[in-house]
Amino acid sequence: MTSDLEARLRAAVHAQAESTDARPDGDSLPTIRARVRSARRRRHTLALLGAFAVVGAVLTLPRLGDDHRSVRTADQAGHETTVVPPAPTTATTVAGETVAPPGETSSTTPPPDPDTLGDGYQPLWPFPTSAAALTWQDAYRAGGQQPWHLDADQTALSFTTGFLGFTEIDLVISHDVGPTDAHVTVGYATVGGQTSAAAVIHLMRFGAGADAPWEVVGTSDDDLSLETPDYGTTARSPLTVAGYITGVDENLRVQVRQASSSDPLGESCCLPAGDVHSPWQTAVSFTGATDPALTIVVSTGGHFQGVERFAITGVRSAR
Amino acid sequence: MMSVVSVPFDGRVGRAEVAVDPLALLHQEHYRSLVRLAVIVLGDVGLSEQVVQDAFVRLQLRWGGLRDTDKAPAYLRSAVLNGARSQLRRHKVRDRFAGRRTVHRTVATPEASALEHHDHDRMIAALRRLSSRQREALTLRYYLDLPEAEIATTMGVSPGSVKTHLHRGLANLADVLSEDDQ
Repeated sequence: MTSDLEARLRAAVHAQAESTDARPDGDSLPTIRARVRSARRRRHTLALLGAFAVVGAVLTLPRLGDDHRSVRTADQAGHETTVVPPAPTTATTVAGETVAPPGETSSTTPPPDPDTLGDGYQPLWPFPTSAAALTWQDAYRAGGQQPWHLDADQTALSFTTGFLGFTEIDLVISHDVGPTDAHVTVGYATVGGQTSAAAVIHLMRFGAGADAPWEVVGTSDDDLSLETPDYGTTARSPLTVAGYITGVDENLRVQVRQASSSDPLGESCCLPAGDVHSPWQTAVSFTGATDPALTIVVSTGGHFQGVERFAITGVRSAR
Repeated sequence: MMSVVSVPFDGRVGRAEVAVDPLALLHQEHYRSLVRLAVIVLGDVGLSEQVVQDAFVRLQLRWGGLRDTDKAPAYLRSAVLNGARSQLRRHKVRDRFAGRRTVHRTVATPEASALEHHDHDRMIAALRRLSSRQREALTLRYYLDLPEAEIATTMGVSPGSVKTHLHRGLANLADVLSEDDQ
């Protein structure tokens, strides 16, 4: 029975592939080359500008304290390889301008504040707006502050251990970091030196330049997904939240959060769930939304530790 | 990258060193199959081409950082799957796919092939109703015929997880198909 199913599946995917009317190979290579050239030129220019800025900063300012502490990372076998830094947990408001994380100076010339990333991605953490990201960028160029914003792994771990408060999700298991976006698999150590993945966090560069900071925009979901509300839609309280889960004796907790607040704006707990690709749904009320984007997070655990898996989505705040 | 290849030389076939563009070689060898891989996951040719081009651009920008260039194809597969996953979330392609056919079928004339095509369509539709990880694992296994270890590397998960995804994926696929039959 299974072998028949496998044979039919194999035939179907091959038929699907063979019927794909992709453009001739030759058409795409020049496009790829042009994009590579453009990206390299941009990097080169920004590197020069950055070098000038750093030299200027070194000559004129004392080096500010490097608050870069440590983040644990692990290979697939669970062996820790490096230790890296945690980060501040929430954004703050400075003179009416939201800046995250605390301790950073604000720019005297805040730029316009379009509050989404390209292609409709929502800025979830740590910067609520592009203005806040640029404020940090200016401060970094001036004094090298908060360099962890340039490290996707550290940003992802800071998001889980700091902002979400999932202190047990403290390992980077793997990552795929490109020029403008990154996928970081975070998780935790289990018995026997093994690791278990809790989520794949999707980050994007917020702003322009090689020193644009990383911003969490979502997760790539698998056995635990959050599909309602749709990503990028406007959310109002009370909010219906739903998705799918594969697991046994799961216990779902849903929170609504925003970058500028350390506490959740709302929470719903504890929804029993389980089985294979089983739908779940709950409602959550929330108050106090002021940021342009909100993070909705669903988490489950209780077998080995409090939080073992989670997924997030980003929505627009009705404000 | 320098490569030794056979080239015509004074009417004979000899060996000479010629400069070979590694990007062009990789592109020639893998572009089309990667687009097809992405189409199975995404169901949209245009988005799939975009995802694959993104992967090539990223690879080229990081070329110097690759410790082992033999792993470039595996890197490309991982990048394509990550990109496809992001596209699925961004555009909700799965939700729209039912109402939009962007993959052109080459329907054969014999009536006998109609049933076969119908079964293929049902299979692909059922595949798209699985979770993204199960769909990816099944696609890598039954389209690219990758062994479990390579699937694990490509998906960034453990071999044990791959077994689970394949096992549950097939079971769920059978369930979805039987639901359709009812």
